[in-house]
Amino acid sequence: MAYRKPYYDENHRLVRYGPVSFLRDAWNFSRNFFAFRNVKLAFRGVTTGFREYFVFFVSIFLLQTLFFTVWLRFDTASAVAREEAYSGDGYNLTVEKISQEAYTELFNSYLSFAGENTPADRGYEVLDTEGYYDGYGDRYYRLNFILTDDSIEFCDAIVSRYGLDREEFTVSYGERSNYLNRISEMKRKSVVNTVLVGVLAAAALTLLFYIRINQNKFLYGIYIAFGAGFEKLLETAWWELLAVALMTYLPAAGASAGIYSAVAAAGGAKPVFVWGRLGWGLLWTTAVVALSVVPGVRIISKKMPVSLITAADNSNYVSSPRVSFRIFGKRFPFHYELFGFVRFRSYYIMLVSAAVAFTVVFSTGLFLADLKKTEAEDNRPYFTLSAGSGELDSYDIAGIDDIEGVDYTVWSKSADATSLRSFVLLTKEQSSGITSMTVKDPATGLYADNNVRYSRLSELLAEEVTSHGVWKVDGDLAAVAAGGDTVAVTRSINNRDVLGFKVGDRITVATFREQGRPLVFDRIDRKYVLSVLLNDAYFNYTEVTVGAVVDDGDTSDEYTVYMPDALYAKITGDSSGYTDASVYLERGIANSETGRIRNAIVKIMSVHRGYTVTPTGEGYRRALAQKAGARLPLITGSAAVLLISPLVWLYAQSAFCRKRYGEIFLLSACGSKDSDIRKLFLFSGAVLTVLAAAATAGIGSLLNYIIYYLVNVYFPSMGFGEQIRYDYTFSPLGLAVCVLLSAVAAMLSTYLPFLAFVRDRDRIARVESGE
Amino acid sequence: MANGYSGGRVILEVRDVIKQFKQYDSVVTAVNRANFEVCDGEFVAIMGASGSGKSTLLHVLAGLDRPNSGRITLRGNEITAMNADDLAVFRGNYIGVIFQSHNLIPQFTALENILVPTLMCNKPDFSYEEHLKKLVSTLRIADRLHHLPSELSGGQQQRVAIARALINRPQIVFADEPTGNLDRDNADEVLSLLLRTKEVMNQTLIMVTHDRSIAEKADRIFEMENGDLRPLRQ
Repeated sequence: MAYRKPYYDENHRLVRYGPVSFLRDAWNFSRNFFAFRNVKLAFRGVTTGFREYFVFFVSIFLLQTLFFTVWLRFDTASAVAREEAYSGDGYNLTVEKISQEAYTELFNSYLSFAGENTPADRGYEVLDTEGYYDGYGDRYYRLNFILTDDSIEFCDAIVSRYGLDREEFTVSYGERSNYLNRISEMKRKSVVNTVLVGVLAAAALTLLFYIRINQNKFLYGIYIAFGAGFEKLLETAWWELLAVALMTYLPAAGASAGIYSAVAAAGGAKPVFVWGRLGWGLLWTTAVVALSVVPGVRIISKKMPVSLITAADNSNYVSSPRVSFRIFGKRFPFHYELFGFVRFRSYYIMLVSAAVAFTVVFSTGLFLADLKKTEAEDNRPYFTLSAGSGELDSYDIAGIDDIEGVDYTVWSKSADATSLRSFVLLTKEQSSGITSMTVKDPATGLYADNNVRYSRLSELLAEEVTSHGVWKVDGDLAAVAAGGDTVAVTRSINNRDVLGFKVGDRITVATFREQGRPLVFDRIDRKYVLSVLLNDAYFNYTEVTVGAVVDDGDTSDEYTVYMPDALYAKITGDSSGYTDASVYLERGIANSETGRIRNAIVKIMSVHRGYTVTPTGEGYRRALAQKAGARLPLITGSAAVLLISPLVWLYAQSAFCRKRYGEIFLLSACGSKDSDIRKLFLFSGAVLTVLAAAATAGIGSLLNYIIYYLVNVYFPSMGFGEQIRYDYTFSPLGLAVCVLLSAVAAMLSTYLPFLAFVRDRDRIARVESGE
Repeated sequence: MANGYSGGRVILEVRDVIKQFKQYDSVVTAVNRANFEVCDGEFVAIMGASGSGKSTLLHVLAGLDRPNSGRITLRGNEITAMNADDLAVFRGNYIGVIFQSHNLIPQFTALENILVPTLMCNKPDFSYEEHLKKLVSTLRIADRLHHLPSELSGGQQQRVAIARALINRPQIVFADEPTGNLDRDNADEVLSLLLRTKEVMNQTLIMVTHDRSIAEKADRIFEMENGDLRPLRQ
């Protein structure tokens, strides 16, 4: 098909001739866009106009450094994770609870032939078999595999291939397979961080580029007047910023390597460099630059050239006699300058937003670095045990306590109020933070709530948590455990203290007696269930006294009422022994040790049919380790970003002042003294100082609180991330630094260009008059 | 043909064009229902006192500004209905503009200023090299090409601006008082250059001027007074 040029029809719509035409247009566009002339001009433009582009050089350099640091950290952390997984006696797959009979069958039917094949054919390199006896004297076996592939999918395939997927067996993935999941999780986080840094970079560069466009309206007006549409302007802008980005690219990679090597060396790790990241960095930079220039170019390309060419002057002095009258009828220079703030409001909004954005990144970085777990969270149990159909006794606990690496073990037993059709009645003060969850009981006027868990508080538990400082306790926990009608309560739901309990308070626990009418639950949400129960059922009420208010580090969506044994049995109707236990490990124990400890616990627990040993603290522990590792890079990175802020101020205000030279000469010609004009600039600086300080403090604090709420309350309640409780650690020093920097930068960036003008007045006058 | 010229086909058609500016609570009508046509190869002068709206009319005709209402058709394309991008590309290919105050980019050399339209329209080097040589030679700025605007005299700056307007061989040239800032000798020289290139390149020239002696050389003269356009000489 011959190519026919697109044309405009009578309705001024562009008419194209099919895909060939489209492809040809696309080819022409690409050919023009990637023409060598553009590259050459862009590089020449940014090098000859280095001062003009300096702020872009610095910003892009710092943002690229952040990008490389994120991935250096990931590559180093994944190498460490792999090393951990492969050190010691790590396996890919462990299958337990294999009876003698099943074991014989497995080896006769499935595993016997595998031994004759090469590892690649049979799928595993090592198969270790361990035999043990349970409490009843029955022989059981455990199979440990080291597979030829570390993926979880391959584990599943092997389980299925060798008939290990029977209900009675317990299959668990070992360190060697889990590390892939961990790396995948780390990678996901790194990708999210990269996107976040990308968004930050794009937003920052967009603002800077918009300021640049604003200061170069005349230039763009001429470009547009002589044929530059959106595509051409985009091409020019993109190449300019890309030229800057390419020039800062390798220095940023080098700086990142240097900084991270120092950080890693301080933490005892060896940094890992992956050359492929350089390619990704290039793609990332290209995308960020493209995103940054599009909004500004789109806005400018829609303007008519005349409006841009005539807007070259930033002077407050306008030709309209009415406006001049308005200005000069007032006090000079204050009203005069305030008028300028109104006239150039979009410029000032952009300037303050751009500059403050960088300071806010710093205060947020500090805030994130300082977000820390509560002390109680330091002692979260690593393993949670369940005895299945059996009960735990003191021999079990003592046995587990004796395992090397175990600090202590406490047994526990708890029940969810909703599942027992129970609830508690609270006063208005006690329930003020959870009003939306409660239902008012018409009979008592109190507030019924079933977002509660009842837990058994043994004297052992009270002693352990007190002696190890696991809980923060207000009141006498030992007295509660000793018996009677006193309880200990927690106050937080989803990491927020929402319950107003005090020691000495009275609360009432309602336990289900009988139904008045058939109970029909159309929905399963707790509040609805509670409403139905209150309407259609009868309850027994037990009034108890709050003997202690505790913070047990729980991050779930329920608070807990801890009861002594007898009260627990009365409320829940469960007087059996302890079925659950929590195992706390010694501080600083290596991750590679946990597999050995688990095996030892399993040996003890295997006397109970249906037992489980769950490493509930594993993910949490890793998350904490990662957060600790992220602290220094976060502080360094955000401090680096902070440096961009004064540059933005100086860049924008210098350019803005240059456009006021004509105005200054005019004011001088009209009789204004230098001291008057100095006042004008000082006043302008003072207004900007106040605006910048207020915006920094306001936006910084707001953003910090939003982040705190998201990571502490919202994400955990939605099931994202680890259940870690953070303290709201507001850093007044960090915020003060930001506010001070913004204020000083705003003032100096406004006043210094004026001083430069005074110094170079003669030369500027010659240039202005075209001599 | 209303307000028309019988010399050739119509290249520019202006219908009921109104341009107003809002200043606080009052509205200033800079162009009030302009209607006329210009034929291919014509030289049309628009005269008027300062503030009469002639520069505004020229900006609107050249697609540098939008009218509030009315229709402008250039080479059969209604530029008032084009979007900003299409209009920019159209301007780059068919329209040359000479501003009263030169409007050269101060940080670019004379040559770079002249080549701005070729760059904006992605013209390959070979398409304008010969033309550029002739143009700078005709305009007598060949020895000033690597100077910044601030290093050129007013007449030289205006000649650079003319070269910039002509480099893409536009079919129609809009000149806004191109001699307004020049002394008589320079003004005559610039005008004769413009007329010569108009003849050589078979262009249409629409010039805003308040100089009657220059306007006398035009094929037709319009006068603007308080936004109203009327023919002075057909």
